[in-house]
Amino acid sequence: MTRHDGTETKGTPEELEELKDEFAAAMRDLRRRQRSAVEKALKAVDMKKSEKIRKRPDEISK
Amino acid sequence: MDTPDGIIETPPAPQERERAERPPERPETAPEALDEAVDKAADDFESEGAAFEAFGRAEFERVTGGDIPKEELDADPQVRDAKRELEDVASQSRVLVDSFKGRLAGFGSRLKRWGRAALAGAVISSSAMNVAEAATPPDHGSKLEHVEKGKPGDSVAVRAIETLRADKGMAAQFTPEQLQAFEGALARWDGPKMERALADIAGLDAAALAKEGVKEIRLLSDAELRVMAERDPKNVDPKMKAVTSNDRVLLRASAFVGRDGAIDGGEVLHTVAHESNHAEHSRSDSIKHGEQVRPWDAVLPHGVQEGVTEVLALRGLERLGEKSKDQSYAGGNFAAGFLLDKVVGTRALAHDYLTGGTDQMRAALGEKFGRAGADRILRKHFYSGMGSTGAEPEALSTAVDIIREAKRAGMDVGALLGTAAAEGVVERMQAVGDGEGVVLSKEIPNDAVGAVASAAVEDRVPLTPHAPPVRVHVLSQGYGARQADVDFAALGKKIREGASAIEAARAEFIRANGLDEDFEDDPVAAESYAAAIDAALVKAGQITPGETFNVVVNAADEMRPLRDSLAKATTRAERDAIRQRMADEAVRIARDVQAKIGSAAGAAAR
Repeated sequence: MTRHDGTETKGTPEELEELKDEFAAAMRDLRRRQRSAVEKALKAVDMKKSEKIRKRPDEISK
Repeated sequence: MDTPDGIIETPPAPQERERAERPPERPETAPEALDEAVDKAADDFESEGAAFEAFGRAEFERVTGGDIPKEELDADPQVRDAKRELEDVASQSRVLVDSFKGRLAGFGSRLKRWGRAALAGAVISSSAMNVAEAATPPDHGSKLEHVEKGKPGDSVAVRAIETLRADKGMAAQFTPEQLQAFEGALARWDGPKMERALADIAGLDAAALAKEGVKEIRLLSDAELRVMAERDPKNVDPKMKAVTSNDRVLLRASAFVGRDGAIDGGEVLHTVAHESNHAEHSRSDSIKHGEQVRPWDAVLPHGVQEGVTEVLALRGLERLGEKSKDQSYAGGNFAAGFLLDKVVGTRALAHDYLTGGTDQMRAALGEKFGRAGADRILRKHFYSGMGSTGAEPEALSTAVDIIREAKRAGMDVGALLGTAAAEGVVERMQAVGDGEGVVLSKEIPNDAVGAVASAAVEDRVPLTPHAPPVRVHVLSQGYGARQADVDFAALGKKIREGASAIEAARAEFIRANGLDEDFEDDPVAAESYAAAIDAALVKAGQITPGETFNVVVNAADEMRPLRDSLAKATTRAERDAIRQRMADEAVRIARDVQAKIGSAAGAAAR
């Protein structure tokens, strides 16, 4: 972009905003994957806990 | 000036008119303010990335931090998977942050701070930007020329270089020499000049073109491309060489590394020219599925569009004083574009490409081959597949059509195809038999495949008097089913049914319209007949309307021994001979497949 005073910039504020939006969108996608990975871990931990709870009555009867 | 009610208005004074015509001035951002905004964005990207990683770690700790022993959780495959996925997204966020920070390097007012000469000097020397270095005469002669002519006139290329320099992913993947070679190639690119060259070829005013070329050019590291492909697996292929999307050109940097590790700067430049042409052809005022529409997509085979894009990249670069060679794979794209160029002329080709029409090409083809001939060439061939199909064999069909029409019009087809070799085009094109087909072959020295060959050959005699001929496409790699996997009996039966459907539809068309056998001499009747045939084919389950039955065969298995001997060949003569044998083999396979289909179709008729 050439300004009226002759100085030049190589990007417009609008393009900078577009780039920031693009970054935000990319991070949003990663956040979605991060959330699903955390949920997966949570589910696995819950499974472990319920396994333990199921086992307990047997252990008690022994 | 007359108004509708007849009152004559005084024309505005010149100064007033100038004011009225000038677009309203937008408030400008001072360069320093933009620099500050850029610096702040870089900090924001960095802190958002760091926060993302910290959050992922903390969440994992929170979820797994209960009373179940750590060793037990570590041994659980689900937990291990989740942990791996979290590590993967964390590493991808680092790639993203680095990449976006790199792209920010293309912003700001550095041109003001360092001065135009310093930046130009830095582009040449690929060194730190300082005036002293810029003042030192560079040792790369041809690049100095660009600077003297006003480089960096193309701010897109300058931004691409600055982004490349700031890209940590690229720095991690490539050596300084390789990065310097990439920079050198980008420094040779001048988009506005290329645009003017193309407009000049087309006889158009560059200022009146709908587009202003590409907005951004980026060389991508494999790491970044992987992140992009994971985000958008439908549209981003991590193995792609280059892609243009909404005026943005993306190049996979590793695609330009030769077997010896050297970067082919000419190929980088050529690919940028090719991709930039796609942007010139696309319409920014027409968006479909989030992408700018390419007008030829609706009317011509995609491969023909690719071929013309390639031909115009060559012609445009020639105008810029850059000698390039076609980078397309053999298969039809380039052949179709090249032959169209030869028959209609570069001016008509470039005009229609830049304006998105086909009028000038159609007129030029009509003059040589008649209206019907022009229509046969400028059409889509494959609507769906008998066997798998694709862009390259479809374009090969366009090449066959051009050859067939040229032959009918009494042109010297051998001479037409021979011009490619005379112009230094790497693709070798030969007519098959009496113009019933074409075979292409090409050596690709820097690629693992070594050489490629493709042929399209038509049946001399159709199955029934009015059925279209069967056109067999043989490709040495890529598209098509292996012969061993083709059910020839079923294919022959299907084609036979199509031919019978056409004969029945023709008889019905003649009866219903009270026509004679020679009705096709009347263009109006011929056009409605074509529509009736298409409808009959669809009804018969053939789906593929149009003039030919298309079959695509992949001959990678049959070509393997020839490829192996090519790998061992040491002299150019040996390699040329093997490439020719591959071409001959492609034609032999095409004829063989035709014979098999013919006998299966014959059996189906009995």
